[in-house]
Amino acid sequence: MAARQQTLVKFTQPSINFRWGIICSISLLTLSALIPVLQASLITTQGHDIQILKQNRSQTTAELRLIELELAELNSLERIERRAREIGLIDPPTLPIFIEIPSHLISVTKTTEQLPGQEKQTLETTPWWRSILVQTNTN
Amino acid sequence: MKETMAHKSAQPTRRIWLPLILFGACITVFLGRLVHIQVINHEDYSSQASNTLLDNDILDAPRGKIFDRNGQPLVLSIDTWDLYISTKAWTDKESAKKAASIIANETELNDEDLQNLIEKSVLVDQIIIRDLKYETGITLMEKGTQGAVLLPNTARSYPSGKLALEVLGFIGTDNVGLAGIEATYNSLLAGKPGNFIYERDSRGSPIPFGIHIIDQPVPGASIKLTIDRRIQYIAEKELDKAIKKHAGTGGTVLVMNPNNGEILALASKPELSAITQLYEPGSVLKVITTAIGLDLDLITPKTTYFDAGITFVHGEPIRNWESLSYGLSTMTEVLQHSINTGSVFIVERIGAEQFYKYLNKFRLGHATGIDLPNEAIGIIPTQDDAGWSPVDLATQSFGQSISITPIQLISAFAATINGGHLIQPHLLMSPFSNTTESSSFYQAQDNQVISVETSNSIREMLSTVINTNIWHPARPKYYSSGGKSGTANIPKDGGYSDEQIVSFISFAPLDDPQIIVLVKIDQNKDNLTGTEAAGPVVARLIDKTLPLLNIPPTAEYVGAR
Repeated sequence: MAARQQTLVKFTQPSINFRWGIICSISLLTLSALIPVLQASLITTQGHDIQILKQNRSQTTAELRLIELELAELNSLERIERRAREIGLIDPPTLPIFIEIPSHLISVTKTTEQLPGQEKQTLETTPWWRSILVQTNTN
Repeated sequence: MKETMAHKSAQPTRRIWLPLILFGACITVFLGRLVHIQVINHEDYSSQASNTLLDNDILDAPRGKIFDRNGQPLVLSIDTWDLYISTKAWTDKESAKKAASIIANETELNDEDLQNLIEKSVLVDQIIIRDLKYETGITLMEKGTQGAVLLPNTARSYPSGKLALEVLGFIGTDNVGLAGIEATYNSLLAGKPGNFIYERDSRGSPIPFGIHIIDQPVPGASIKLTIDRRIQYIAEKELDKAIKKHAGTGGTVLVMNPNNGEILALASKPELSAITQLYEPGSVLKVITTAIGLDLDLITPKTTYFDAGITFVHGEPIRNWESLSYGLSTMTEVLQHSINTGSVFIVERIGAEQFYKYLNKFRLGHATGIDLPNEAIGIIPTQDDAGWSPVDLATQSFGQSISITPIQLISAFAATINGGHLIQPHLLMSPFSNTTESSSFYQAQDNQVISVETSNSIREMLSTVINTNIWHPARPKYYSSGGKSGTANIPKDGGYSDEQIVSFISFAPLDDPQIIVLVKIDQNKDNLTGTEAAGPVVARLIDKTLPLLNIPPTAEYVGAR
């Protein structure tokens, strides 16, 4: 009996060490095998996301084109004329009113408008059309 | 005993090796077949498998947009789908019925007809609808319609409806321009198509996210035309009204900038007849004849001759319109009263050789090179042609026996009033991309046909046509102008029929012409003359068009009437 116990002890002792080695090896192998799987999975997920984004982009572009078309259709002369008639407007006078503006007044206004950060100054400047109003009132 | 044992052991060996040989032979055959399939015919079977699972198609590039001169869109490209049904996916009747019902609900198709079509189809993918609406395609995708293969495509859309459609043209199912601007500038507008492949499952349905683009399509360039959509709209309306009012069979309205050849509006019925159909212009051509006479110093605006109402050329009588006689008349009065005998008087001084030389310089009887396909050339019989006689020369001087297009006429007329430069009419203002196609127009422009002095004289002479003491139908309300009418009988069976083509060509303002307007009405049943029928249309067009170009009215005209 004692001899058998000795044998058992002798037998079990090295077997524990041997299993740990295998477990470690298998674990390492499994982990190393998992890396490409994880990589592939990650790439697939990213690829899928990219595909979705591409699809969204093309969908947004298509919708943008449709909005452009809708805007252009709303701006069509035929529609504007039809709508104008629907709300009771009549043909506009053939000739618009032309006002001759002194060229120096136009250039001053334009230059002031184009200057960055000069909004306050622009507001304080007398608009070019005021002089016309003054002339009209005087007449 | 040993012998017996040996004999006995031989029996099971045979029982084993015989089946083994048979089995081995079978395995060898199978292996051989496997090698045949997998190794020898690998490519064939591989491609067959790919063909079943993969398909490829062309990814059409979105065509460029077309804008008017002010940047307003005339033609846009929108995304659509081409709907195919994978016939393999519809072998199961129940699922096919369900899918057909979904498609029928979203489109205008009948589900039973659709099922019948697929049943009879011998194709792997049967086309069902081209240019399906984008939203409908998305809905079909979201509903997961079995066997539906939606391939991206693009379609042309016209936000202004039929406006300038004859100029813009159209494209075919392969997205290639077939007419109009779409055909002329196809290489600019088309872009470069791409390629893509898509994967299908065993039932033939496309695998989600299984579309792989190989070559990205390159979108086409957008272009800007010289057309002003507002002027085009007015021109089309005025043409329709004029044809209806005078019971004509067709007509043309052309509005052009005489200084650079930019076409602001082109409306014609039948479509594009302004450049494809020849006609005898009639008295409008007297302007050209007079310009030649003036340029050669053979006449002046004040040169006089006696008009008896009839003149004889080569023994043939040539009469004035309605056989009227004006007596002693100046060259200005020849244009003012449109005297045929006066035109004959001028051309007799010019002579055939010089006359045809000038017509050639004005490019009459030649294509103008306008950027539209199928431009007609014209027919001008000359002294070198068989059957020509001096009578032809005489009648050509007032626009008969000469067939040209309205675009040729307006181009030549522009040269007589713009300082003598022959300009090339064109429709492309600028491509948005960096191409050099527009530059060719300007290279061909500096072509002096007549002198500046001659051109000034013609302007003054033409102003007397319209600005008479009595009211003239072609006189605009707000702008000074000059112009000339034309009323020509239509040639028929070697002679002339009673049917006529009437026209009026005018420019405005007088001092600095910014537009030329040509109005032509074909076979007007009311038999009114060019002045009576086309004149008022020209006047209205000038009054409506010039304000849109920011040209102020002529001071002395405002409030005159």
